[in-house]
Amino acid sequence: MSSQSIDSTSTRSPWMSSLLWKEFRQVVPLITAVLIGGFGLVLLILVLSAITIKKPLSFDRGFWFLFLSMPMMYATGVGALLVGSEKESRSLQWMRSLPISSKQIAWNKLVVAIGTLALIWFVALTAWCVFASAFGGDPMAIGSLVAKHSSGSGWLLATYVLMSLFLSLAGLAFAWRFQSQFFGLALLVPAALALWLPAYGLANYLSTKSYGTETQQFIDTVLYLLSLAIGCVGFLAYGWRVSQRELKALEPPVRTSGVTGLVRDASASERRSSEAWMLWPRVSPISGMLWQMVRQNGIWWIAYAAVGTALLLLCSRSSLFLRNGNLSEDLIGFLYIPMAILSGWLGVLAYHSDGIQQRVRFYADRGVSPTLYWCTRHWMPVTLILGLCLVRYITNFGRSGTPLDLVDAFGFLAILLASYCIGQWISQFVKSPTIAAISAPMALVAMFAYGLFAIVGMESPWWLLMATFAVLSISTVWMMRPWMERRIDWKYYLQHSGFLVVALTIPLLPGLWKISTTPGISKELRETLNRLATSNPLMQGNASRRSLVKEPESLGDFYGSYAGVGGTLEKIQARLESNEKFRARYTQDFIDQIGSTNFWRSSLDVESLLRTYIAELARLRSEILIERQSTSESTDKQSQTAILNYRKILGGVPNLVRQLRASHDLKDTDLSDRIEIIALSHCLDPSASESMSQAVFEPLVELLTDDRSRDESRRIALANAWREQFRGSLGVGPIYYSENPHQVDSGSIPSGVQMLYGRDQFVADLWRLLNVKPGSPESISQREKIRTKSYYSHGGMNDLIDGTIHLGFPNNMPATAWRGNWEHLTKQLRSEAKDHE
Amino acid sequence: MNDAIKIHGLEMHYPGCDALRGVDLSVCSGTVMAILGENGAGKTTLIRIMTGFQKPSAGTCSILGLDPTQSAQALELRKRIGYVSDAPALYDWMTIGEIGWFAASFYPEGFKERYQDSIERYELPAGRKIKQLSKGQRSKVALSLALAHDPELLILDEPTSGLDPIVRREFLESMIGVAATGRTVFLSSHQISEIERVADSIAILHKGKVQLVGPLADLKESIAMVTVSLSDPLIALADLPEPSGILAEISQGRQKQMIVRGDGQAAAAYWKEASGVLAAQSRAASLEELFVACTRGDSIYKRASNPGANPTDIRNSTKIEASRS
Amino acid sequence: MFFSIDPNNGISIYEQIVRQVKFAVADGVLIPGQLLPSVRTLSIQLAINPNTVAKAFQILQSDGICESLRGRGLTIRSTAVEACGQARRTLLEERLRSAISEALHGGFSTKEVRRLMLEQLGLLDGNVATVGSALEQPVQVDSA
Repeated sequence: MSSQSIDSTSTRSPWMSSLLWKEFRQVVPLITAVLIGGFGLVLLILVLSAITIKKPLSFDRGFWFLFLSMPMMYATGVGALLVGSEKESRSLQWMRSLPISSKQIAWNKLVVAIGTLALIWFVALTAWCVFASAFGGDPMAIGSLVAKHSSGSGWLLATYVLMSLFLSLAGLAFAWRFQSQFFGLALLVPAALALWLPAYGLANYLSTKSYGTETQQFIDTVLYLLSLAIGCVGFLAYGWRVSQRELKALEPPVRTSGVTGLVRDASASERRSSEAWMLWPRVSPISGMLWQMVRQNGIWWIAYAAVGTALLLLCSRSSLFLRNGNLSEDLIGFLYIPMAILSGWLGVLAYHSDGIQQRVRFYADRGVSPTLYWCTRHWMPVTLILGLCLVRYITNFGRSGTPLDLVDAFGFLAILLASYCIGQWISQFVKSPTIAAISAPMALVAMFAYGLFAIVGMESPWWLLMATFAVLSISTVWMMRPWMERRIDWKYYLQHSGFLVVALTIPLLPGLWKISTTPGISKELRETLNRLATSNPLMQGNASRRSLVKEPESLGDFYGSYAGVGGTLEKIQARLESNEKFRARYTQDFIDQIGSTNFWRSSLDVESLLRTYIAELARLRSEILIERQSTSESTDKQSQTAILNYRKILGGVPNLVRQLRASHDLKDTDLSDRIEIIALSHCLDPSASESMSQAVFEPLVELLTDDRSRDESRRIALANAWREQFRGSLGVGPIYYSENPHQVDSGSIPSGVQMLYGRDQFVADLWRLLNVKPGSPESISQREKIRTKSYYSHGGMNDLIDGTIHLGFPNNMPATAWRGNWEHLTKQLRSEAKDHE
Repeated sequence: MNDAIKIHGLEMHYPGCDALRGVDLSVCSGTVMAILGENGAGKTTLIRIMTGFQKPSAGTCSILGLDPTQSAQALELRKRIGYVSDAPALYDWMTIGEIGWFAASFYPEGFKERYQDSIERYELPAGRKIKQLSKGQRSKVALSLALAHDPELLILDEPTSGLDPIVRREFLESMIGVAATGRTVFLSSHQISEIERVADSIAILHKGKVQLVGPLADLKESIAMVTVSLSDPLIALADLPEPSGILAEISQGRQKQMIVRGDGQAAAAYWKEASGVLAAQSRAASLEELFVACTRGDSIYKRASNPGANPTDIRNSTKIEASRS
Repeated sequence: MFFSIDPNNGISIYEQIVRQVKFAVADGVLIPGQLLPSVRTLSIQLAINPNTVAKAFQILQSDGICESLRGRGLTIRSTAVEACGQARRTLLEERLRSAISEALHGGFSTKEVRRLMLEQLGLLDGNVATVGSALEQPVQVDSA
């Protein structure tokens, strides 16, 4: 005897491992679907929010629910998949014929179910910890997610784990008991409710006893855990019993001889119906097909309508959901989301109810048109959805008396139809009913996120999304024939995926069109700019902008007085007086230092400095002119100083300009232009060479007439500014550089691309400007074009130097002085210089 | 007689295997044609192509004048024929009567009455749900459904596999009833005894090609099994004069057994005169022996003629023989 | 009448039908003027192809055993009885010839063959039921 038992155990081991492996292989598709769905959703939401929100994503505890969904979904489906699909393929009988006991079979399935569930939990938790730490959050923050139950995180996790265990055990038990996978899945809802409601009720009752919040929370947690544990044990026992009963009942059916055709006597109901059918009238094919659908799916449709109506009533009666007449979030939670998921499942039912046991081939064998079949599958469910929406509209959801907002009504309808459409597409694409039912909610979330992305991120008009769903519906019609004839091979999946790709691309088309028609810069220009920038990089040391001036407050006043004098007469007077005092103290410092680039670079407010510069030069020159016009022969000390200072300042200009240009920074180059303009205005003066002295005048002329090096430094500076995007040398304006003066950055991808391209266009136009001769009509038109397209609405491309000093400087648009009229005026200088020689 | 089924050069290539490698077949209307072949020979593929469930890699096919490779014509075809596949799909939850009524909506008038007759003849309880039926009863329901609209062509894919002898007999009777009314029947099977009773012509499908095709009666008359006893196992026998020929041979010790096309007695007499031949006898070859010879060709039976040649069309050889005599 | 068809015994099915009809006529199971079942009925009853049955009937007609009565089917001709008897004699001759040649081939001498035959005849004589006519019939294996 003992040797026999030893033999049996030793022969059991190889059986065991291969059987366990077989069970595991069966659940692999579900594992794959759940993992792909879960991780895919996380990835999708990350990517989409990164693109549309445009700021670094902050850690949100809500992400935990995405990771939590994986074990939950898996737990829901594992029972149906392990047992239900075997029942459908009738392989349980084969297993019974093997030399293993039915206890072993049930045990194997249990072990695999729980083992794989643990695996999924492990994966989900690990991924969550990685994810949370990558975003700098605390993985344990999941403890305080639900407002009511802010007890320790460990308990909440335990509740979730127990919940998933409960779902898997209940799912297994129902799958053993019932033939239909859908039915077993659907029963999980009332089972979970039956567990939750008493615990909830009890907790509520106990909360009235007011034990204090901490004790109350502890009681709540204990109640839930306890009820879950009871549920687990209960379903474990029930499932075991049912499994043994089912397996023992699997005997090969008694072979009956066809002569009598009866295994047993016909029951009473059979006898009744055996005559009835002959009396039924002949109907059209459509009616027959509808009859078949109604008889087959009727229960599910009634359940859908019942749940939907119940939800609608609940929401319309409860005042919880009306806050100022707007949709509150709870409404979305209680009405929209469940109805969307239910509609998705309604869609999954559409084809899978016929796909079970390949019964749809009944139609295929008889040459029924696939299109007709498709229409009959959808007629009733869609009518049901429409009816439900109509009910909602009629029951005056909203404040009493006011009808429901049409937008709201149509929005609800659209969401339900869209969910149904996705469900029916999945129904045709995914072969296993369990996996289809589990993936449907995930697909809905993904589709919703995608729709949001299309509208916000890609500027798709909302009605274009209808085209997406239209294509998805068309795809199921198109692929109906291979599906009906069960020709489901790689070609089938390829075609279906093709349709999916087309459907998903359609909303992106306007955005993509916009991106592709945005002009950019040519490749040669890009290469030239890159070449210039790399061979003449920015000089370091421009970063710090410390002020060298001693007293910043007074200096601000000092500069401010030249920026524009406003206010009352007394104020102006007072200012002028204080300015005089200040000037008396600091002017010489200013004149001594103004020739150094460091002084310019370290100044906080370059515009004011420029104005001071202009003002000082003007003051000095007027002093000189006044002196010249005076008849007295003696030169005043004051005028002597004036001449010295004048020459000093102007003498430092060539050096200053060249040093500024040498930094290859566009801001410095623009500054050097301005300084050149100022110097030019002084050189154009007929008595300039006399006032400045030849020693100062000639270098100035040489500088001003040297177009080539000026242009070269400009090109280099432009190339660097184009490359170094984050330095902001080009300012903020170019990103709005376009034909459309009201261009705004809407946060979507096309507008983002347009910003980028706008920048490139600006640089390209400036480049083109530099290739044009100064003073030519093209230069004028090009400057005009740049001005009109630019964001700088006040932007004057001020170029004219007339006799007066031009005080109104534009805002910080770069390159305003390029190809200005003043460049043309430098030629005058050259000819004058030539005359002089 | 015009052909109900005309198949020419049909090929079906799957990645990794060639199911059909050039099949030519014609079936006159009003006859019963049976396709014999081992499992995996391509019978089901052929039938699936004929009913439009599969598109062939090459070749043409014309059933009742319709081309099943065109989708619209395939649907039309399936409406006109009665097709019972090897695993007929039925809605389990319907009762026998309900499914009859349901199917009747797809066909013209008269379906229900014929279906009712068929059900009564098979003594099936009309009120019972299909999921409670045994396998034989399910097959009967499927056959009744296929016959009730009185189709011109009946295509059956292994209709009696897995059924007990009584049910098989009933199926046979139904098939014959259809044939007797002048309809065409096309069936694939490997129940050779049934085929011998019921077929007008047969075709043997092996390795994707038709190895033998022709009217059954002519086939049986023109094929003989000749057993030759030799004094020395190494003696080679001369080829038979045309149009006779050796289809297959097997050697065992000093005896050789050959399947001979043509007059068996004449062949036996011919060989008896050869030296070293002790005795030669001829008897009619059974269809089973013929089938085994055609399908086991390379391993046990050697092909005397070159393998892979055009299928032996018995009709041609008998005609030539007749003209000779 | 009952037919028993064996598709495997080397004789084609239609030939079996023809023979059995002829023997039945010879035995008096089928009497002249009796109607044969229709092609359809017989083919369904025997579970054989109707064309085969049709061919058998055609041969019976051409052999003069049956004649077609308009609207009713095939009937046995009155002259059939003798022809069937003749057919049976021919068949018996064939069978005797093949038995004797087998014996001779096996090495028996003519004397031994004759002795064997007379032995058998002695055993059987008087123990075999005959048909109510002068013709002999093969041994019938049926219960009394």
